[in-house]
Amino acid sequence: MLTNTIKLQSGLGLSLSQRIMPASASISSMMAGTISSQFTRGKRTKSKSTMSQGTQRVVGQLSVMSAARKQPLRLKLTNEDLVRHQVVHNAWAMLQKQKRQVREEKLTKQFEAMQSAMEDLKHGVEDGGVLFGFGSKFEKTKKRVSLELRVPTEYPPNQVWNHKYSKSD
Amino acid sequence: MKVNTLGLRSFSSSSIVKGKPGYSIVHPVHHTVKIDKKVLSPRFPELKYPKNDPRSPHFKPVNVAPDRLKEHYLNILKSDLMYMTYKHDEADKIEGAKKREWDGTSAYHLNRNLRRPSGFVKEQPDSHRVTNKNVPELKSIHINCFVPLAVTNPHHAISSMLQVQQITGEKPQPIYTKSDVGRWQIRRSRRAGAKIELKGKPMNDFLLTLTELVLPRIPEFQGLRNKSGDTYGNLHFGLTHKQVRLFPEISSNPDLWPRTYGLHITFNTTAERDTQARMLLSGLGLPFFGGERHS
Repeated sequence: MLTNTIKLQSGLGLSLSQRIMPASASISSMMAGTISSQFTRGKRTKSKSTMSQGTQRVVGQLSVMSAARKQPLRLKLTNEDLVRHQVVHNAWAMLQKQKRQVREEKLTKQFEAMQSAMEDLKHGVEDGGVLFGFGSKFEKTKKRVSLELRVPTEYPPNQVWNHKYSKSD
Repeated sequence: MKVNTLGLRSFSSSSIVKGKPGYSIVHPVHHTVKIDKKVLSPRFPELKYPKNDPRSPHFKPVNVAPDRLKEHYLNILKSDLMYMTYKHDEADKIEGAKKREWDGTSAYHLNRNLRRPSGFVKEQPDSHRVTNKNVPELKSIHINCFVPLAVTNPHHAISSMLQVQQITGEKPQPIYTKSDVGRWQIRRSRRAGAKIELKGKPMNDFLLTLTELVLPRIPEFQGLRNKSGDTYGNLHFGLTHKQVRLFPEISSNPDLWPRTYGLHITFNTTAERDTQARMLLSGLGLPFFGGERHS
């Protein structure tokens, strides 16, 4: 009842505790029930307690996702640094191109070799097409790379290969 | 207004065309040619730099770390897949079912739309023989996190977006509901979850986390269903909200995540058939189970 009358008098909608306490009182001191009158510059004075815990969490989550955190610092390069960057960039691109060409050449050779080997089996060997039959047997379904094939790591485990592996494990 | 007697007319007016008001068979060309005004304008010169220039505000450093999965694919898997998919004397191109002509037995066939392809509703794409030029490759991974709960409580839309961002390390896009369904408490154009398309390094990192850390920790996980797939080389599977907790970004701080949300994951490959896509993904460390229908 007392709070209500004071609210009406002040006309600001402040609660009794907020009116009596100085602006600098911290949340922890409020929680502890003590009142400190010491002013600290830059200290957050507004109480967060009006927000529910769930809302507070969502506000925190939004601040994590905000664009301000995603914007990286712009590099300020001198002209010399810029030229250096471009040289390195072009050199890297050239290196990647060379590597790619080598890979593509290798794959083409592999494909052609496979094709010519199959042609040999088909026409070159006179066995009534037995070997060619083996070579061209094509399973339509469930053709898989073995699960034991792992993506290589820089720091492989101490036991590199489990030789006693069985499918039931 | 000046009447053009030469048969030419300005594109801005269509009132005097062969005596038919408001009728134009010449489509206007203005506004269809896009003009990049930032290139023409002398202002903001830094916006004209290409994105890989460090002076551009869009510059993002790439190739800052080795890509394990990419190297594994290029060094080991690619040639293996080429051998596995090889079939001697296969046609270079198998044409998919296309729309058919009408036989012309009826006079009404003249202007009728083409007949639907036999056995299908839509036209089917052509499929090509796998050679060294088109070995199946993982193009992108799409993650879709639909949270219908967010329609009534918008906090869930934010939390689900952050969850997808934490897991993938990339910024997701919001999903909006498309229809009004009273029974499901869904209303149109409300935010309901997050989606993301991963490519390149982030995609490979996500896949490695999935296959090496998350999936081995799920006791009931058997693998991807052999029946999954859209027949054109894209495979799907899902994770429940409990399984999402096993991602290291979330399991390292479970107190921050009182609620997690399930995900739909789509593997988008360059393979033209599902069987080839399964071959590829099995090489990238994903197991498969169940009966397979071949396509």
